Amino acid sequence: MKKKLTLFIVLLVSLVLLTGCGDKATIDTYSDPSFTKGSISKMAVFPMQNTRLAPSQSRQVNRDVTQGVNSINPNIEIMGSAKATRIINEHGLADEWAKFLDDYNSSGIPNAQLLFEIGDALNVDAIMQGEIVDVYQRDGKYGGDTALSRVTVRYSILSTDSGKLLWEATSRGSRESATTLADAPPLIEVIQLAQEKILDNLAL
Amino acid sequence: MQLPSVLLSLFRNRKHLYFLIGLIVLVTVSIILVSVLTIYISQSELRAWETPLSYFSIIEPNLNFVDNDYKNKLVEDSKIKKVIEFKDSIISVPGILNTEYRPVLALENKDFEVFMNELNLKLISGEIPQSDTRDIIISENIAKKKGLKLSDYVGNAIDDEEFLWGRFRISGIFEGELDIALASLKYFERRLGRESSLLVLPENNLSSMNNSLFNLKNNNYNIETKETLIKNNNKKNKDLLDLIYILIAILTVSLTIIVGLYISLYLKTRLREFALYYSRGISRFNIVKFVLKELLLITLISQLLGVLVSYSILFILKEMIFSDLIFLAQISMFDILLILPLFISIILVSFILAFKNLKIKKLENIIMGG
Repeated sequence: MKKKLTLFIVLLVSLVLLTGCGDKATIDTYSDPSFTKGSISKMAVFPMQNTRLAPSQSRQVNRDVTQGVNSINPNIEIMGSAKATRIINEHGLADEWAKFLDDYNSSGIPNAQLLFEIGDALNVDAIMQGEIVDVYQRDGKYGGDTALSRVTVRYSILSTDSGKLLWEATSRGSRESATTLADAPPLIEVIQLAQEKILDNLAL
Repeated sequence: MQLPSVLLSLFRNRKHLYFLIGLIVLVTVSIILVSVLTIYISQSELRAWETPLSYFSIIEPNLNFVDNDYKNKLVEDSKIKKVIEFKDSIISVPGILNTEYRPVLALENKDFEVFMNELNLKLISGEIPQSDTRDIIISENIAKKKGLKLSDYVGNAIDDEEFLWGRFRISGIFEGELDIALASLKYFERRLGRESSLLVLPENNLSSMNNSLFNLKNNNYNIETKETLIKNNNKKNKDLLDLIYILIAILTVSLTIIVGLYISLYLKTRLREFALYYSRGISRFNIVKFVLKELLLITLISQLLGVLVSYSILFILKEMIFSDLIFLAQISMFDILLILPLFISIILVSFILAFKNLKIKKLENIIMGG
């Protein structure tokens, strides 16, 4: 009886170990001195860039951010990504915004004049823009590697008042399976993991 | 023998008097300019609000809101034409020491027309601010002094030196007597919260409306009128005025000592001349009177010259050096009265020194060849 119980416990522990997986998320943040709690009353959340997700999953990611910001400070009026995109299209600013993101990602310096124009068009104080910086996925290989998905997500809040970067956070989320038999964990789960870490560090 | 005319005597001794005149002019100019400039710098709030408060008064709640009962009482008052909810901020205008500013009033869109009509402000370009936007309209003078035109941006989000928060787009420029800017109340509320103050426009006469406001006074509200503004400003600047008085006292005492020493030397160099007058039968009293007349005239001329030089320096500062800035400093009667103690003390010292130096014994000694 005692032997059976020991065997059962060993099997149970092994099962837990085999089915479990390791989640990890790290974060780096930057905050401009002018960015203080309550300094933003209207903010547009733009769709995340380079998501490599299905449209429904992309919408889910954007919705998560909107809800996250809303739960941090319910007084902030948030303009959703769909409405923000529609308005910048109506004002003929979509191409310029895409160019802005390219330039900003390569130089790190925002084009203040375009931010002013977009701020005036959307009538918001700030814009929140997310981006998938890099993605790494690996399926498990029996007797070799475990399955792993790793993603770096960056969110920036740009002021349409000053044309400056107010806040930026880069989070690296990873999920690794415990066994070598699993497929790489779904990307959306890892993105959400990194996104949660970012929202935890956002003080609006 | 008769004494020569005072002017002739001054002309003869002009070389000795240049230093004395120069010194008195210099100190007179220093006293006037110290007073004018210090008071000018300390009165930036007065310059910003005095003219607007000649048209309306302001009621500021001590609590976070204006209760409707009080507001209704104001609306029903026959001396009040209109009660307008507003918020305020300030916009910098180029001035000396970066202290100059003008009010920014944020109004509801429905109130723009009546407010601008009552204050004789006429939009000369652009349009009035749209509700809940960054639009702002500014006076022609502010636009000119700040070099702003339609669609330009203003605000400390883009210029650290600017007093106005955020970023605003110039949507219009108006002309009129007032140097102010007007923006959307709703946009201000986005940043500064909902609690507003009240701006009250008089039906006919501002002072009778202000009396009525003070009669309706409720401890939960502060009433800001032109009179309270001046009174508070004077109260706030009392220490500064004391400082000016101390500075002027130091200048006056220092100059009086130097002038006293110089007059003493000056009289000694002319002792032979005075002895000659005495030997020709002119009494000591008449000689002293003659000397005092000379010194009185010198002091008077020097101080008048000092006032003229002060006016000239201010003119140069205004028209040449600070022509791009708003610089409205003026010499007032108060500033001129501040040189009166200097005049009195110089005359007093001259009187004492003349009597001390022109003693009969001294004059007789010189006559006797001593």
